[in-house]
Amino acid sequence: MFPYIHLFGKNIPMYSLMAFTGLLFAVGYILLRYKKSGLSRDDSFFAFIYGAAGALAGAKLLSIFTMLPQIIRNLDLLQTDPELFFQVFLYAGFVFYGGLYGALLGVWIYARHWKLAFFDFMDPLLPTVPIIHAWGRIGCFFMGCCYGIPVDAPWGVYFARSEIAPTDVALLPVQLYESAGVFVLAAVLIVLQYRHIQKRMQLAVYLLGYGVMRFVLEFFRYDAYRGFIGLLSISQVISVLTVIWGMALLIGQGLHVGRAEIRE
Amino acid sequence: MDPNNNYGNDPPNRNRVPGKGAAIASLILGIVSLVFWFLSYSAFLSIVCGMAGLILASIAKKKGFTGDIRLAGFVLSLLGLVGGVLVFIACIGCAGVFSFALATFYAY
Repeated sequence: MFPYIHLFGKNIPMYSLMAFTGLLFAVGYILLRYKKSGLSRDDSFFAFIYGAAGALAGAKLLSIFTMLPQIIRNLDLLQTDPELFFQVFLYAGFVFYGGLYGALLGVWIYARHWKLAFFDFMDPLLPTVPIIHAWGRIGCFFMGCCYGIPVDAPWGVYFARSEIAPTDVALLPVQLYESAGVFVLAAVLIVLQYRHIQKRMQLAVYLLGYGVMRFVLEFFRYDAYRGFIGLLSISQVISVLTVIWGMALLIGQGLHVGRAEIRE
Repeated sequence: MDPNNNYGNDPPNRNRVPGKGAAIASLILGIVSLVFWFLSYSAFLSIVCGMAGLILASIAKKKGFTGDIRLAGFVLSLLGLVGGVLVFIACIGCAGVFSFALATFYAY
């Protein structure tokens, strides 16, 4: 694929460019939606900034956690070649689930700080997560990272210019499958918001939808350097926890509605 | 002795404006994030400083400070952040793929 494009005298990674495109669409959606969501523009954007900061920190922290054995093995690099150490272990590598939970924590901190309700921010902020994520996955496809298993099929892709994927074998473009799935999830969330579905339910739909999707897609991924706990990858373990949280939200909402109906 | 009277030892009234400190910090971080953008491998710090600058600018506005310093801090932090994001090689969802490729040369 095309890992970089040359702009302004710099090699711009396609991943960054795609993520930035997703960011623009996300900001556009907030601008379209914030009035109907009942939040002020300032609160919507400021919470988004907190969420973005949380996403960055969370994605990096989880990445460090998954790479901990390599980091410990290479600690001596800190003395011999600190620049390389930081280049390898700090500047590269982010994990989506860390970003998701970091973003939720960031928004929660904002809501708590200014004494606002956390779930009120789901509308309009929640669909921005899959919007940015879906564009980011297209970026992964361009970079040739997060690649799928080898396939002997017409839809197999040779990542001939990738610095990461094997270049001599056709691979399943699992990045595009995930991107398509996450775009659908974003569309579903947007429809739910325009139908004024309860905000806890919106979060539950996202957690269940993405948790299941990611759990399944992990079986088709071939980049084995992601950390495993037993037979499951770390992302699959987090997917299971994510689905449990989604179900708990659904059950909680169901009980809440049930009690309200009994009172009436 | 009147406990409320500390005999003129009160700090001078500096006419503190709520949020002004955060706005000034935001401006400084915005400038720093732009500087880091021009140095190699420091784009990561551009993102960190840009984020912190945006958060401080938002805090300043929420506290009621809407002066030009806050606006400048917000804009510079945003520019630093965008520049950092564009230059910085990052890949959400693929933990350490770049790292591992390099690390394998150095790990046993």
